[in-house]
Amino acid sequence: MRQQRMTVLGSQIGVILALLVIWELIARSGLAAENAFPPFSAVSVELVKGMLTSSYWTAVWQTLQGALQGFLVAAAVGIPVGVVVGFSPFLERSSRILVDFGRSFPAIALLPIFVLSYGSTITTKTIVIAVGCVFPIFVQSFYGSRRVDPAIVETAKAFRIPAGMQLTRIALPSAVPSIMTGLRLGITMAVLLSIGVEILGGIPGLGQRIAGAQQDGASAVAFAYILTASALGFAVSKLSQAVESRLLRWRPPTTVS
Amino acid sequence: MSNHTSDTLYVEGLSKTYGEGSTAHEVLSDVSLEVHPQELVSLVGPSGAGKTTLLRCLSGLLEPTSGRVRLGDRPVSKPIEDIAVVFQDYRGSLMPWMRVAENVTFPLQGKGVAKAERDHRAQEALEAVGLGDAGNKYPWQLSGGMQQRVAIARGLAYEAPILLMDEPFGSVDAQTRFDLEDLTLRLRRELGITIVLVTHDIDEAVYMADRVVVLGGRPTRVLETIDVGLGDDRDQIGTKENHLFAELRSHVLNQVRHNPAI
Amino acid sequence: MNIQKILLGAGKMLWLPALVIAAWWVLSGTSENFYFPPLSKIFEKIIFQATEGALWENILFSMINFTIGFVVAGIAGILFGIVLGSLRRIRVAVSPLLDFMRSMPQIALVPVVIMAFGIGPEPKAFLIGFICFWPILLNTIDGVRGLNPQLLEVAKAYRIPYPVYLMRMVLPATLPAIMTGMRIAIGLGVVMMVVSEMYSSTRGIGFYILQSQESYRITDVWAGTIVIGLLGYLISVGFVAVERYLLAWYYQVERRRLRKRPARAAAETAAAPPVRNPASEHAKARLTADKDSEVVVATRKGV
Repeated sequence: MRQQRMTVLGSQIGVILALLVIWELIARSGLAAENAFPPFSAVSVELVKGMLTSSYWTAVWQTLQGALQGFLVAAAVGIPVGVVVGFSPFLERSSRILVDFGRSFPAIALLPIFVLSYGSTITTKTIVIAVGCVFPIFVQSFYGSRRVDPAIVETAKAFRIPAGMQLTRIALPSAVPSIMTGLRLGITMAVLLSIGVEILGGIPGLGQRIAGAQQDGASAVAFAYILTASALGFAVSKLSQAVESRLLRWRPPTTVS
Repeated sequence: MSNHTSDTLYVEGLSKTYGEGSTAHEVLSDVSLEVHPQELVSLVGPSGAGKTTLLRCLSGLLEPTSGRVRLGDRPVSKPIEDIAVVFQDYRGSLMPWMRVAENVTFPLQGKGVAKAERDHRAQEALEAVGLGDAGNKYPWQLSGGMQQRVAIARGLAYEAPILLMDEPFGSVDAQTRFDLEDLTLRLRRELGITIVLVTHDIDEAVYMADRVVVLGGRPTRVLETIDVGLGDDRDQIGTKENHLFAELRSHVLNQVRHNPAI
Repeated sequence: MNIQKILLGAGKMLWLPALVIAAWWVLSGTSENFYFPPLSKIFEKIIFQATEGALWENILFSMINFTIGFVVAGIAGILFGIVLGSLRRIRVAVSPLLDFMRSMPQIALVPVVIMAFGIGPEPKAFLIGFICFWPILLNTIDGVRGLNPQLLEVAKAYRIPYPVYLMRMVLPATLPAIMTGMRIAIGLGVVMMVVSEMYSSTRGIGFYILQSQESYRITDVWAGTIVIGLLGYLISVGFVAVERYLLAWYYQVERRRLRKRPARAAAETAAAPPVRNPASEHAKARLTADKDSEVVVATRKGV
C-alpha cells in the first residue's frame, strides 16, 4: 500500500519534471522566440529574485485584495437574494431572463465604463469583480434553495410550518452545500477577473506586472509573475475546497462529484 | 430462435483471491461444478458469498486466480459467443439513450449480424418476453419488471445456448418476481437453453432449478449439490405447497445458516 | 384559452425585465452625466452601428475566433477526457498538473501570447481554446469515472468492439457531464474573447469598446457592452437548445426520477420522519454492482 503511494507520487513528480525539462529544451532550441518563451531556468531565477523584494509581495497582495473585496460584496448580495428568489416560484419566474442574461454577461466588458468614471483604481477593480462573481454565487444559492428535497417540503407542509420558518430553517440549510459550491466558483472567478482587470485597466497588481514586463521585453519576469498568479489561483482553489469539505462534514461523503 | 445444443460447462478447482500479500482476501476456494446442456442450475448462498464473483468467472468477465472454466474443450477465459448474461441491475445494464429495440439489437451489431436479421431477432425476442409492442419505447417508459424483461430479451436475441443470470429478479416487487420466474421457466422449456441462475433467495433457487448448488463457508466453496426432483412442470402455488419443495427448502436453509460467509 | 395561457406565462417572465429596461430608459432619459448617457442614445448608437457601422463585421470576427477556439477545445477535451478517464495510471500521474492548470488564471497568458504571436485572430482563438479546454477535459474525466461499471460488463459480456463501446456507450453516457463542462467553458470563453480583443486588436466587438474608450466616446462604450451582453446571452441560449436536443433522453429520465420521489416520500412520511438521502441512484447502482468485490470499489475511489 505504502509502496503504491510512493510510485504514484513518483509518477506525478516525474510528469512535472518532464514537462519542465521539455519547456527548457524548447526554449533553448530556438524554436520559439527568446522574448516570447524564456527557458524555465531564467524564469526561476527571476522568480527567486522577485520573491526577495517587497514589491513582489505588494503585487500579490493587490491582486488578492481586489479579488477578496469583490468576492465579499458579491457573496453579501448573491447569497440572500439567491435563497429568497429560489424559494419563491413567482420571483424565480420573474427574474429568470435577467438572471440568464446576467450570468452569460462577461463582466469584464464593463471595465472601460468604470475605468472612465473611477479611473484605474481598486474601486473599479472591486466593482467589476463583484459583478462577475455575483452571478455564480447567486445562481448556486438559488438552485440550492429551490432544490429542497420534495420529501422535506411535504413534511413542512404537512406540519404547516410557516413560510418564514420554511425559509430560514429549511431552504437556507438545504441550500448550504450548493452555496458553498457557488462561493468556490466565485472566488476562482474573482482571481481570474482580478488578473484580467489589472492587465486591461493598468490597475496595480500581478496582471499589471505581467503586461508591463512583457512590454519591456522582459519575458522571463513576465513568466515569473504568470507562475505567481497561477500559484495564487491554485492556492485559493485548494483552500476553498478545504474550507468547503470542512464546513460540510455533516454531509455523508459522496463518491461521485 | 432456433434450439441450440451446447457442450457441458465445467468449472474446475476455481479459486479467486483479491489483493496481494497481507491484504489478500480469498473469496472462492476450489469451486468445482458442471452444468449440463439444457439444465437449469441455481447457485445459492448467503450475501457476500462471492456468487457474483463466481458468475463473472463463468462468463469470462473475470479471470480466476487458479482453476479454470471450460465449455466442452474450449476454455472460457474471456467472454465468448455461446454465453449471454442478464445482469442484476437493469438500470445500469440498459442504456437509457437507446430505444428498447436498439438495446436488444446492439450486441448483435458487434457480432456482425445483418440489419434485417437483427431487427427480426429483436422482435422475436421481445415477443417471447411479452413486449412485442415496446420496441420503440425508451427503457424509462417501462416498469422495472418490464425493463428486466428487455434485458432477458437481449440475452435471448444473442442466441447463446447458455444464459447466465445474476440475481435477475432482485430489484422488482414480489408479484413481478413470480411472473419473471415463470417466464424464464417457459422460455427455457421452449428454447432449450441452459441457464445458470445466481440468487440468494432459497425459494427461488429450489423453485427454478433442476439442481441447486449451495455455496458457503469462508472462503466460499461448494457445500452441497442437490438434485431437485420436482419434475418439469412447476407452478407458484402447487409446487411451493409440495412437501418435497418444503423439505428441500429447509435443507438448503439449514446449510446456508450453518455456514455463514461473514 | 391556450393562447391566453401562453400570453400569461410569457407575461409572468417578461414583466420584470421590461420594468428594468423601462426604468433605465426613463431615469436615464434626461441624464446629463457624461458617463451614464440616456439609454435611448445608446440604443440609437447600436442601430447606427448595425446599419451603417462595422458592428456586424466586428461580431463576425469575434464569433469566428470564439467558435474555432471552443470547437477545438471541445474535441480535444472530450478525446483526452475519455482517455484519461479510462486509464487510471496516467490520470493519477497527471492529476496534480491538471489541478494546477485548471485553477491558474488563464487570462494571465494574454499579454505574452499576443505579444509573441501578434494581434491577429489566431492567438485569440488559441487563448479562447486554452481557457475552454480545462473545464471540458475535467468534466469529461469525471463523467467517465462516474460511469456505471455495469456498462463495461455489458460491453464485455456481449463482446461489443471497443470503438463501438466508446462511441455508443461511453460517449452518450458521459454526454451530460461533457455538456456541463461546455456550459462552463462558454462563460469563460466569452470572457477570454473580450479580454483578448480589449488587450490589443484591430477588429472585434471588444476592440470596438476599447477604441471607443480611448477616444472617450462613452455612448459607443455602452453600446458595445450591451451588444456583448446580448451576444453572450444568445450563445448560451443557443447552447441550452442544443443541449436539450442532444440530452432529451437524459432529461426525461431525470424528470421521471424527480416526479416519482414526492409520492414515495409522502408514503414514507406517514411512518417516520424522512431522512435526507444523499446517495444518488447512481452511487447506489455502483455499490450494488461492486458488492461482491470490495477491491474494485476501493480502486475506483482512488484519484
